[in-house]
Amino acid sequence: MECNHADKLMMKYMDGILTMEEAQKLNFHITECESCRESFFTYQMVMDELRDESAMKAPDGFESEVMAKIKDIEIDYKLKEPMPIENISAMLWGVFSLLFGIGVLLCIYNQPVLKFLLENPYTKDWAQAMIPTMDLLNEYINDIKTKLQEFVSDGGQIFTVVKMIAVPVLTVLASIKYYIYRKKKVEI
Amino acid sequence: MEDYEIIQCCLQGKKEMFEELVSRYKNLVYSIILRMTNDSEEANDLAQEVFIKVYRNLDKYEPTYKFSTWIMRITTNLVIDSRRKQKQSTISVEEMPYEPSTEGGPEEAYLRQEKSNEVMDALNALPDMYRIPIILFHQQGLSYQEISDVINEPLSKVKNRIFRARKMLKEYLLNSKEGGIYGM
Repeated sequence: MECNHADKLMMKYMDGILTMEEAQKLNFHITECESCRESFFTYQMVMDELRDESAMKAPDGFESEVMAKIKDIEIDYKLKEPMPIENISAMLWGVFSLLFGIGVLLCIYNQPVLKFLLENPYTKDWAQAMIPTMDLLNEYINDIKTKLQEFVSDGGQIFTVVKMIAVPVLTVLASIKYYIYRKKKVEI
Repeated sequence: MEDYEIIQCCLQGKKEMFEELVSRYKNLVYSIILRMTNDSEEANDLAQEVFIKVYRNLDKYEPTYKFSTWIMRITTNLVIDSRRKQKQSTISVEEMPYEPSTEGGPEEAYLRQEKSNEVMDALNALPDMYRIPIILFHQQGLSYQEISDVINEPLSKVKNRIFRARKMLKEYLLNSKEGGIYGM
């Protein structure tokens, strides 16, 4: 066995995870190698010294001294109360609305966003990998758009109107939810 | 009674219950500080300070960690802060009083004391970032994960620091061996 390996086994020994087989190997090596034997007993000495618990006990009367010191300390502990269900609900709705709003915006304006990401050297590679997914997404959007156009003769205009209304409405909804959540949090 | 139940009692105003926590953890706190400062008087003062700090911040204790982990974190941080404020290193072993052991003859006691001083000297030479994990591991018997929770560092860093600390201690002791008197 090489000394490097013996050193690793010494570390395992100190970690208390040495197997019987490894212990025998290490034992054999340190009887042969003076340098490793010296290392082993040095490690052993450190461990013994650190484990020595003599004079490691707190002095007598320690508790009394501490209690005397805290006797006059008056603290108004701020006890934590569990978050009410309404707050959790408001928070979840707020997050959902916000994510939904962002998702809708990204769907509608995916081409400008993709273009922006492609121009940025840091996001270029990632954006290129996203192109097939975005194309697929566009196909779905166009599909929906076409179906809407078929459904309503004036489809194109309706889609533009929906686009113009949906974005501000969702943003306002998210803001209101967030405001409610913040307000309730402050009241706690 | 569990630690957490005692803490809840203290938080509800039963101050006297805190004495039980002090009693449970005084040796843990004191021994860590004593290993780091090598001064029993300073260790006593700092250990009391730790418990006062714990008392003041009881409401901030998160039961996701063991109470011992939390108190050890406060202890190590307080000692580091205290040393930083003092802006001086800990007492060297030469300044430590010689306490002859009652076991064995005087010569044996002297040799044992010298050996102990050598190790303590090596330990004192370690920077805190290495000394704290190795004390927590070998003296307090904490696992790597528990040390990681105490010092708030990733597990990989803890393992690496303990490994490095052992190597540094060994090198220090082997280098000082020529001048030292302990034998193998």
